[in-house]
Amino acid sequence: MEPRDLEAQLELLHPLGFAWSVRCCRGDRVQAEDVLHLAYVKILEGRVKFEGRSAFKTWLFGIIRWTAYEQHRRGWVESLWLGRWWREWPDPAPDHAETIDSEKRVAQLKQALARLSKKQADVLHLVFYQDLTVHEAAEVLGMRPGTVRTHYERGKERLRVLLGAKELVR
Amino acid sequence: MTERDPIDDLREFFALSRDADAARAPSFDRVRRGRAGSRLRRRWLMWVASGSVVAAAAVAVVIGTRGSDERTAAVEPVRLRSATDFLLEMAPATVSAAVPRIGDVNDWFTLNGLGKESRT
Repeated sequence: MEPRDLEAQLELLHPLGFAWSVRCCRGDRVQAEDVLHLAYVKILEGRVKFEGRSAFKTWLFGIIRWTAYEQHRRGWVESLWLGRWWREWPDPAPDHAETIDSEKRVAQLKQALARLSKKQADVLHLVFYQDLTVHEAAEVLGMRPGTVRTHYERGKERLRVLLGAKELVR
Repeated sequence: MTERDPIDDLREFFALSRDADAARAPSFDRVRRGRAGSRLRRRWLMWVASGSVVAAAAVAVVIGTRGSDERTAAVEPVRLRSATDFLLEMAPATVSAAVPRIGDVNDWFTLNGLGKESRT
């Protein structure tokens, strides 16, 4: 892929890539920006190459996830030295529920999502927020599709339980 | 009677969140450049600072160790003089000639006036 095309693709997917980076950084928007910057540097300097074996979005999200993991591991090592004195406090992001909609239902959804396991929450984010298929979510997370589907189904079921939904009657 | 599936609410919630996040995300150009004063750019400063501290500690240890050696050399060791110290000042060949038989040290000491009988 040409560098100009690569940059154009990255710019197109930038908002979704940032949202995924925030998810990978456990809500830390400052770190998410650093992670995304590193991912862009890796891609645009040719350190990682898109070989067309999957969708570009899936490939990009996989790079972001690995970069976040590397940064998280490095941050743990740095915190043993002087790193903790250099860390910035994350920006207090405004609550989506309060910004978008103050309905009780949205607040309940946010609470229920916070109570899911990380893997279940990641899978639901990739499928519902990022509009990926279960198979594509598996590629991003580096897991088998069957495993991701299990997390997906269990995540949805747990949400239903947490939100107190009664059994549907069709 | 059908109940609303909470998963439908989830889809709606994520759709709204996506729109709000897109409006609040930092620009592509800013992320591409990297934040000014970001932790990434300051990381090299941290390693320089850490390296300086380690280097200073190593220099302090080296200086401290060398200073200790010099002080030790400046002090004359205290030795107690004993009756056999003259042997240390004799040449080895002379000592061997003076003490021909190994193990017969007691006789040699007696002959040279250094045995118990010579002490009163």
